[in-house]
Amino acid sequence: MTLSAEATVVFFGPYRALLRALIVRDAKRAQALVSRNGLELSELLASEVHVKNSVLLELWTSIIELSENEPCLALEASHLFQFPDLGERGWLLSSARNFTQAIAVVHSFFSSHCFESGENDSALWCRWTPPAGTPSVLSHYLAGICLGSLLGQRIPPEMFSKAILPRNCEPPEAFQVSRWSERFSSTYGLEPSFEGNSLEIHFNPEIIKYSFCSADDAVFEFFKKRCARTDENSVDCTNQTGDSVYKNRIRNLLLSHIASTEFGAPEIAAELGMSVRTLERTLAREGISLRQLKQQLQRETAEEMLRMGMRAKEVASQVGFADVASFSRAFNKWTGLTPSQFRRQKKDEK
Amino acid sequence: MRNSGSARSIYSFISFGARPLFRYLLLVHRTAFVQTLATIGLTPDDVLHGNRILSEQEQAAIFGLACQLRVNDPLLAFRAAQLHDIHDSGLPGILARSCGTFREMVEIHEKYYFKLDSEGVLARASYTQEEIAFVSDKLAYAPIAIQELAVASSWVALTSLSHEAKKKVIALEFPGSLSAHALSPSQLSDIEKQFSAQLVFSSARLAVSFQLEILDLSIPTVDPSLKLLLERKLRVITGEVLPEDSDELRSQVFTAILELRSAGQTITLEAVADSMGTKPESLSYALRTHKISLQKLKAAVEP
Repeated sequence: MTLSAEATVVFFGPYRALLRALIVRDAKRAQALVSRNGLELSELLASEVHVKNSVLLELWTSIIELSENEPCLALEASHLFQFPDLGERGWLLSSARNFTQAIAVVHSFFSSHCFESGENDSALWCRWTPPAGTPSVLSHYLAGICLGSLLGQRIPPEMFSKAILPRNCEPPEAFQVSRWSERFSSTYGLEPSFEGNSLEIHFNPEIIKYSFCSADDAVFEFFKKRCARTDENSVDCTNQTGDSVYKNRIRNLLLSHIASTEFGAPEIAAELGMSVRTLERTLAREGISLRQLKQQLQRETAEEMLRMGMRAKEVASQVGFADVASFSRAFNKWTGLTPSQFRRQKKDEK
Repeated sequence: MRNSGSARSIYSFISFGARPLFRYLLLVHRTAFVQTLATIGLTPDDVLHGNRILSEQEQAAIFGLACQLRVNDPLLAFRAAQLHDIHDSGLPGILARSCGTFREMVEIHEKYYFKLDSEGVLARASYTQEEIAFVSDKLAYAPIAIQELAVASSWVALTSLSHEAKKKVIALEFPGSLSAHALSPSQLSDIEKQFSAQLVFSSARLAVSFQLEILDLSIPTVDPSLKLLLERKLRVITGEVLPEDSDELRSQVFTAILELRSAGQTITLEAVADSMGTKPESLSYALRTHKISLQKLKAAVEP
């Protein structure tokens, strides 16, 4: 895979599971990898941070090297993957009601150019094509994640009819092919074949009637809005500066105290160990003032709470307004609607 | 009370507390683990993805295996604890993560964990004028593999605290039965270096004490509206409020009717409400709001 070592990416779910596998197998190597790059293990495991591609390349190299002695390592590491590791999109996927809804989520909120789905006479199928040059170990691993995610929804084995893995997933003779295939079959209830460049899974058409065990309509609706908003606001993170890091910290501090009317520039500056003037300059470089950032957070939070059906009075105090009248005025200015009109509109949309 | 029963089956300590251990066994001692599970009629999926309470026999088999493997891998529990994820703690864990400050997190902990877990090794918060301590008294009764896992998990949790929060740690107390073997010498020295805190292996409990100032520190994963959403869900699970969703309410009432019927009890509004841990008036109001007929649901289970 061609990657610029200096460009940055979000260290999210699939990478996190591989890092956990590396920690268990070779904790010193994992520690050295993150320390060399000025990071902390806990930071990488707990939150979505931006890292240079070189970190990923080092992680993959470590896993590929360990796999020389343990050909099933990457496949097994896929067991360490969890839906919430994918952040908002993961929540959305895990709270989907059924197969049809989950496929719609993947098409809308995951990189659709890698994913296709359809149906033929006897089966529904999903196809994921890894970028050209993806190492075989990673193809194993990603195949494991795709299938493991489905098993996590307690989809019974009879709902799967065929699994075709990329040809480069086929382990050479020296890698104990039979053991690898046995492992795959015992885990997923399928004997895979190895053809072409894609991972393809065929399902029994009955799968569309199957309800997912972690379905949750309220959570689904909540994160659907979030994902749509994140997509609208998505920015190129490849040049994230120190200022952006500060903006995130300021954002989190404001959110921590969003119900407080007292928490302002002096308190934030003190928490960040800088002067109020430096705080203002930092935000100005990002093209936003503290007041604007606070209002943006108040609006986003208030909209989410109203969508959940909360009354204006409750929301007003939750987002730091002294009384409901001033909240309603502010909300009307932001959206052109009163809080109750907004709540009713969202209820009707459902 | 039906709700507390169902909550326990979802958030039993066995599900989230031991899940890192299960993952470790699956990753490093797969054959032995899968065979052990097979002897008790379980699959890895049952213990990794399912939220089930394991019977005493099932626990004995799995923790027995962990104890055997400790002989050649004394740091087994520590390595397993590294696989812990906040999501393993279920809804309360994610809710705690979305809080704004440690104070809110402690409040959530006190409010919900005990309702959801009456038999686990979870910590309670204990206050003095100068400090707040998280104490697990019940640890002494847990299998040794779980005791070690709890200590190792605490260590992992402590190392993941922010630099600011680490400075607030005053003292660490680990179960004496584990002596210093639960952690390697390098981990012990790392603890002393990172926390400048007194580390004691003396009593039967696990405790971590912090200066009270920790309560005002911000949590970087704060998310007020997600917190609200999850707290509402927990209130339904713990029986504080009835579900707002019609289907969920219908399903809860139906389950309560089935339970009463199988227990040979008379199915009345009062009995159903009692079984759901709510007042008859609240249930009656909720049923009316959602246009659900108790009589129709009762008729559906009649022979």
